Amino acid sequence: MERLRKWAGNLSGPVLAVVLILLVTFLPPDTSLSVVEANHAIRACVPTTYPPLVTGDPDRPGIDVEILRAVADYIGVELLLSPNDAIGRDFNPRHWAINRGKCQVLAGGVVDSTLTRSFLDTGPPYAETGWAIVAPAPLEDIDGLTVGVLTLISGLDRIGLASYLRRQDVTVRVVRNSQELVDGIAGGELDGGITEALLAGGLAADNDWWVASLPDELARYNLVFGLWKGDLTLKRKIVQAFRQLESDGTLAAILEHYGVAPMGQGGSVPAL
Amino acid sequence: MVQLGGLYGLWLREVKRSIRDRGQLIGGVSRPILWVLILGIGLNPYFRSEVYGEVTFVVPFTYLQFIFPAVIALNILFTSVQSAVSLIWDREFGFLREVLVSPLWRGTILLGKVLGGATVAVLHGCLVLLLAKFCDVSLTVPKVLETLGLMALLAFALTSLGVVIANHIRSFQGFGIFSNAVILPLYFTSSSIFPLDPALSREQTRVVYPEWLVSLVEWNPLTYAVDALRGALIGYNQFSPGLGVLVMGIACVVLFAIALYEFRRV
Repeated sequence: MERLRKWAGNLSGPVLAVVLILLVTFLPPDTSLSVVEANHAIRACVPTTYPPLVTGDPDRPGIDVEILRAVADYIGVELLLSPNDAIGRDFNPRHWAINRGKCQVLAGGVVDSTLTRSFLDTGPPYAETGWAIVAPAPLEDIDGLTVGVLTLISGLDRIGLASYLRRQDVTVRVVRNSQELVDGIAGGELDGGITEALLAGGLAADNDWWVASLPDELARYNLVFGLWKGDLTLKRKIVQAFRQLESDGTLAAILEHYGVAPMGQGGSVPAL
Repeated sequence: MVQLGGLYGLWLREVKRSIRDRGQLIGGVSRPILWVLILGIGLNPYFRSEVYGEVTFVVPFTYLQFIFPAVIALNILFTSVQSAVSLIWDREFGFLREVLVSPLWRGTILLGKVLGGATVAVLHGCLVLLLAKFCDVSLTVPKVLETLGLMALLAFALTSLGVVIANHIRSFQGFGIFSNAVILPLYFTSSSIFPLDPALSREQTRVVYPEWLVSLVEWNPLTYAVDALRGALIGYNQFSPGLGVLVMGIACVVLFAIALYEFRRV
């Protein structure tokens, strides 16, 4: 008994130290969540259109918009979208003039890459993406073909894609939007089109085309929401919301609605 | 067997003494709270991005995440070096004389003291690990095991350094002043609170920072320990990932050898 009391006395200090440190972890490290709650709204900067993530169609607004709406419901605030038509016109995000004052979340094609994390923190991943090719008929390889390339806003590795296409001796035509890509392929000017995998899957489904992911040497990335670095309390709440959306099946239902495979199921399109 | 028993006894004595020392425990708790809670949160807004595409902080992490591994190193640094104060204490009150006339080898006595101090230092490092979630650093079992290994190496090297200092200092006050004069410069010049941009070449870095500061950071062995901890905890290295382990391994051997050489002359 005496020995036990001695040990308890010895350990009381370290136990107190651990309890004190653990209590500190309950303090909020920033004000990002309290600002959202005080305004009863969370603002998201999105491109005007980037199907299937953002469509601009009120009945079928896009994967990112629907997920964000579910997250906003979980937090108990309204979702305010801030469409930015500068997104995609220029691949330097600095020229999009998106700042902390305009939105708390960036959505519509943000991928979890080192480059993205140089500027932003990221939310949980919900789908996988990468470069994919669409064509009216299956292709064995793309050597010597003429393809349209639509990069839009995706944070995918454009330099890697350019090097790969150069090695394959592909003639590249850069197109500005998905309609231009569809018209080029349908009109026979292009043998195929390369773009972000989810968009490619949608174009292939709409036009009854063949679609395949480009080889593994071109990295695949997780799609995420961009958050401002340091907004830890908001990030934690969004992570909680994602856990809830995953467990109640909402996330899977949204992805299925747009024909996108959930995380860890190898993406929506087969490999080339 | 006698050597092992003695080693265990000395190790246990060091650990028990530290656990009972409320002052050391308060230090172990207050340092992470001050550095993470006050400095980390206080400076966090100044390192966060305000405009998408504009880089204000070259490291792809928040400031809290960036300094988190460094605060672990700081807690280990303080605890390791200051645990060597027990050597002065033992010398002052005659315990060391009693141990020295025992059948234990000098190397065993020193190893017992160093291992004891290193164990306590690792435990103090673990106190900081409890703040991982607060700093948005995710921990997995392999990550924690790798971090514990690095912490043990660092703690062993620094406790040996503490013994080297204690061998040269005769009073408690002198040790306190001298150890602080070693600890703080070591910490501040270890790229703990500011990064050397790994995207920049050596020449470019010397344009961003004055050459003397870059040299101090590069010469400081603790830089590579902090870098190794960053690599293990947040996956960010400013130097070659294996360099930290190599530098700490060499520091363990060299500092323990110096400590043993001087301890034999006690």
